[in-house]
Amino acid sequence: MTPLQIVFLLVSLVTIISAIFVVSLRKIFHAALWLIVTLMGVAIIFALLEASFFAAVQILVYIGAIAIILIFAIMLTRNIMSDEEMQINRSWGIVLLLVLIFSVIFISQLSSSAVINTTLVPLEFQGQESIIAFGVGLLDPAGYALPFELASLLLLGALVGGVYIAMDKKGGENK
Amino acid sequence: MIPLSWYLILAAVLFSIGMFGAISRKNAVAVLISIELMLNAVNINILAFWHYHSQSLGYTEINGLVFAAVVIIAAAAEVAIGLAIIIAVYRLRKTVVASDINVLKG
Repeated sequence: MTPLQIVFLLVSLVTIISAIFVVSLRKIFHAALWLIVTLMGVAIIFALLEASFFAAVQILVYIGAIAIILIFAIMLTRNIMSDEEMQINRSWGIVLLLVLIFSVIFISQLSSSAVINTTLVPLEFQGQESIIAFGVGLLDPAGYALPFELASLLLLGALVGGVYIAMDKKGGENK
Repeated sequence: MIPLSWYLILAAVLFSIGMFGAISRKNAVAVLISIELMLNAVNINILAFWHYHSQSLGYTEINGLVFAAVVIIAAAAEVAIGLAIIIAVYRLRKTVVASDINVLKG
């Protein structure tokens, strides 16, 4: 057991437990707060994978933007679904069984394949080299310049579409 | 020093938890939260294989990084549109329970 492995096990334990809280807690607001813990754990996993850029992006975009937007949406739709009633539907037993079968099949297939012997070693290059290569690749016309521009168009379209869909078209006459 | 399979098992467990939430939760916002968990599990997988490929090549392989970035961008767009739809439906029907939202049913 190296210290890195102990850190990984602790972080993944916290991540999985908080993810279970996210899907099982009755109060949706508490579930959203546990989601932040899960996202933080995933950011630490990204840092352990030496993807430092994505660890930062995870904190900025997921915790800073997506989690806050989700909390806003929960507060806007708060009093409509009381916290006391059942938060999961009737067929949750079947779903739990299917999900357990899925994970057992996946883990047994994984442990019987050759991947189980593969170990990730620290990369030979500096972390900033991979960020520079990533940036160059995103702006290189022979690389990923077109998907990058399409992604920015997608974000713009989603933003405008979101504003249009959520706009109160009746001018608030139901007040 | 960490085995690749640990990351894959963690991602599989997170994906399964997210899938359970996405199928069985009643609240539409909770369904979106569960989908976020699933997308995070996918990103762990992508970056684990990116690390493995980079370490065997000896230089930075950027394809995996671009894929992970596209997943994050798609997740951001999905949350923006999903929450806008939930707020519009809430204004129309006064509900956020996913099984009660059947406006398109004839």
